[in-house]
This record gives sequence, structure tokens and C-alpha cells, in this order.
Amino acid sequence: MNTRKIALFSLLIAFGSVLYIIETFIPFPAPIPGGRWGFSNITILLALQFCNYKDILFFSVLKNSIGSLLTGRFATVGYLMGISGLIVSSLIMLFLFKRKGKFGLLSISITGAAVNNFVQLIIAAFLIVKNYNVLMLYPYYLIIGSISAVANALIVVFIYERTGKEIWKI
Amino acid sequence: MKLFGKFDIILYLIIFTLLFGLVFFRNNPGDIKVYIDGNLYMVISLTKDDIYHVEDFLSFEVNNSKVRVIESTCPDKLCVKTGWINTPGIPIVCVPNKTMIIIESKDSEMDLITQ
Repeated sequence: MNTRKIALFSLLIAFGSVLYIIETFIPFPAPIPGGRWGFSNITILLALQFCNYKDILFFSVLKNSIGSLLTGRFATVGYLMGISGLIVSSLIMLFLFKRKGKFGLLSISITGAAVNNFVQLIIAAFLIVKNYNVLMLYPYYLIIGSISAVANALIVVFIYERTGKEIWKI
Repeated sequence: MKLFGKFDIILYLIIFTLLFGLVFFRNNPGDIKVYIDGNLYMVISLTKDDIYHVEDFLSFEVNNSKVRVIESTCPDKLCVKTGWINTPGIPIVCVPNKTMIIIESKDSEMDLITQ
């Protein structure tokens, strides 16, 4: 870990945690348990460029933990669902991102959202409500998750265009 | 950082198959079942209109083959905001109370798995 990496990490984690809090103020259209827009995943998409697998794991755990400490959701069932979904989806997103140029950011973002929601529902089905029928809610999660995933990908591309390449190099 | 790549279509196809596969998987409505922490708490006929209570933390109403939660002790009240449900398989879930209300499908194999 060099100084530049520490600075970038703390910047993005702070950004992500603040987005995590602001996200709770935005009304969520569908009344489903644990539902949230997922705009704080903008920072995960930005972090993909300079992270390896260990870094992204570290990053997603910290982002979600600090964000949920500040919103008062830490160590609740919603936190368990959120963090497990985020870990799996960020690892898969990084795997897709490392295949140079084969997958665009839009598809990586949508896949990340889909995987995130799927893992959350699996956790809910097996550990919390203990019933497989919860998985039938998946289409609702998928549609709403895709909307915010498209927005995330566009925002990240705009940010990247404005800032230039140099900031994101370690 | 590019928005599109060569093999994007593969990912989109996987996701859309999942979506449509789940949307068109529906059955005829059967009984209403209430689960607490994964255990079956009660079974009610969909045709009996009444207001029912689950322990002391949740109450729900059955009316005209539809179900809704009227009152709950959870902080978010997501189960109340879900409103009426009448589709088998789509549950009302209250995560803080670990409660799930679902209209079972009449002739599905799911009954064997969910115990």
C-alpha cells in the first residue's frame, strides 16, 4: 500500500459512505424488504480500475460497514444481506473488468446489480425467512436494480471523462 | 472505461432469461400459509374473509381472495406498504419479525421442499 493508494481508498470509501446515507432519503418505489437503490456502488465501479481482488474485498466490506454504522443498520439482517451481496458482486464485477475490453461498463454494472440482488435473496431465503418462495420476488429486484445500475454506469463514465486517466493510476 | 464491449450480449441474455423464466412461472392459488422463522404457523383458506392475528406483532386481513397486512410492530412497515397480494408465490415478507405470509400454489412441487 503506497500513499497514493491509501488516499484514493479513503476518498472513495468516504464518498461511498455518504452516498449510502443519502440513498436512504430517496424514496424506494417497491415495498420489498431490504430494498435500496444501490447508488453507492458508483464507488465500487470507480475502484475497479486500480484494485486487485484483495483490495476490492477490503473496499466493499469497509464501504458497507461504515455506511451502515452511520445509518444505524450495522449488524442487522439488512446489513448481513447487503454485505454478502456486495462482496460476491464486487468480486464478479472485478473478474469481468479484468477481461480487457471484452465487457463494457454498462453490462458489468447490470450484472453486478443482478448478482447482488440474487445473493441477498439467497441469504434471506436460507438464513432469515427460511423459505424458498422469497426467490419469487427476484424479478422486482432485478428491474429496479437494473435502472440504478444503468444510471451508475453512465455517471462513472462521465466522472472518468471529466477527471482523466492520471488520477486513477497507482 | 468504455460503456460497451464485444461480449456484452452474453451477460444481457443470461439476465433476461432469468427474468422471464421467473415471471412466467405462476400457478393457481391455494391456501394462505404463515411462516415464522421458517416454521409453519398457520394455514387459512383464501375464501374465509376475516382479520387474523400472528402472535402479538402482526395482523392481516383476508378479503375477496386477497391478503394484506394491516398492522405490524416492525420499524419500516414494508409489509404494510406491500398492500394487497393475490398472486401465488409472491410473499409478503416482514424481515424484522421473521414472518412471511404467502398464498401457496395449488399443485406445485414447492410444498415438498418448504417445510
